[in-house]
Amino acid sequence: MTPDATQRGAASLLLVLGLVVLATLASGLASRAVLMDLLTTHARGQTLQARHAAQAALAAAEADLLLAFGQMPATDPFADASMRAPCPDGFAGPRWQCARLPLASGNTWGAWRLEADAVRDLVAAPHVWRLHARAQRAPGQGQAGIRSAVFVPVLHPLLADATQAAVVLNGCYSSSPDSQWQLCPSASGPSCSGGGTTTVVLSHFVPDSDGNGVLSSAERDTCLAVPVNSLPAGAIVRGPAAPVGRNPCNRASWRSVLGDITPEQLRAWSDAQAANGLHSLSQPARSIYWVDSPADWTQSLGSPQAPVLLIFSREACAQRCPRMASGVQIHGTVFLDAGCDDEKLRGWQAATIDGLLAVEAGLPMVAGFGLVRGQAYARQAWSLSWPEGIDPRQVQRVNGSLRSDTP
Amino acid sequence: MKQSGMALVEALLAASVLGLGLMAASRLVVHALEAALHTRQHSQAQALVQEAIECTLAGSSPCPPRPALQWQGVTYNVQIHVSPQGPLINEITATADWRDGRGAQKIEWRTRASTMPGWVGVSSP
Repeated sequence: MTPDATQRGAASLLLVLGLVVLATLASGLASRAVLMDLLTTHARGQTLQARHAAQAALAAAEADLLLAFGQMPATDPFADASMRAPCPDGFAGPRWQCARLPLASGNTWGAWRLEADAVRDLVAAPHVWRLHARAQRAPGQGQAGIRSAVFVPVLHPLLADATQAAVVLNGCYSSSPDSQWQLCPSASGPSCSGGGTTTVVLSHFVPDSDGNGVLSSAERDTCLAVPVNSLPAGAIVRGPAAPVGRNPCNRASWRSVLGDITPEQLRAWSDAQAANGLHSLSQPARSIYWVDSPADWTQSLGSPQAPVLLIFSREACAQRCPRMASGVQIHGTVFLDAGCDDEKLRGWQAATIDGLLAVEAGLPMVAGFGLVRGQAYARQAWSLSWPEGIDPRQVQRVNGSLRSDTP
Repeated sequence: MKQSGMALVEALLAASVLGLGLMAASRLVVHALEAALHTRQHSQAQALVQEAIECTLAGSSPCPPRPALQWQGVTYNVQIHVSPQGPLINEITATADWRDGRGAQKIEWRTRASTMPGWVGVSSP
């Protein structure tokens, strides 16, 4: 073979090999694209299945809540110390309370492990629970998280027509000769003057002394004997339009101030705040105080920006309602649950209350110094955000609250 | 003469090498095309099953919105089955089946939904 022929042969071989390599590369690249497509579809399928598993966990958590609040008395998962759990990222601090829900339908679902936590804001929204649900398979085989929010019947909305009086009673009022009480409507300003013709004292009970079925001016004046120098000019002291019974105790003061909220609900809310580390100096500060102790009260609480609800319970008022030490200032509402027994408040002493003083009884022979100034923020401590027209007795999902979450 | 004969042999050899290589590459491409078709069909089935599940979770009717779909020459049949797991929770099973060159294919996904009512309020926290 001549050298030329050899070179031509080699060139042909190289050309052919080159063409084969090119064809193989092209088909390899096409196959790679197909493989990527296949892997993407597989990954998308796994992601969606993981999300469905997380949805199953959320459904189990919601079923747990329906079960807990469908029985009487309702079972509050947050009240069970054994269910306490660390809060997810972004929910640090004493205002957030977190619980691991037990998932009555089980923590496994096929190959998936399910978990769900409930988180709530103990200060601003104890009635809105965020549910964080997660599902996980073996490592590398998929995990997902979703979250949702539900309204839970642990409280009730504020009364739309709540009275704006500074003092609410369920009985009569009288002063001892040495008392230095001032009762000021919210419009009167810090100097307790002016304010026009606004109701300062509202009582839900005036006894029908002559038993004629009608409350006369004399009967009202005798019962609601608020000294003139205790009120700014023009301030109104108001009683019921007609006689009402008070035995058994009709809890008129409670209903007019707190509406449908029950004592058990407020006590649970107060206990939850205390147990979670909220107190008067925390950030945010504790807002609900349920007191069972009969000891006189010596602590100032609240501020105009963060008013409180201070309730002295029936237990605290078993013998006589706790008095307030001089120098104490409360911003918010003070409620004394004397169970319509006026004698438990005989000679009661207040301090300075900026907001509202409500008593489930009368105030006979009030003594010492007392300053009650009506404030617009009096009810803010338990004024929660509720959708208009909602039935607060049911557990309901907040539609539109479903979100993806970190697993 | 001998050289002409060698040129022919070289040409035949080159052609056979090229033919073998191209045959192998074309087989690879054919397999890739089949795989791509299967992936597309699988992806379409996933979309239909996901649509059926979301329809059921949203409480819409009818569900599935498209129980039978013809797409690129393939007929997909979608079914939803809701079975109570208790008074408060239902299990939702969505399946899609179709036929391709490999025979009958099927995917089945499950999830759960509670019977908790939703509230569509004027405002929400």
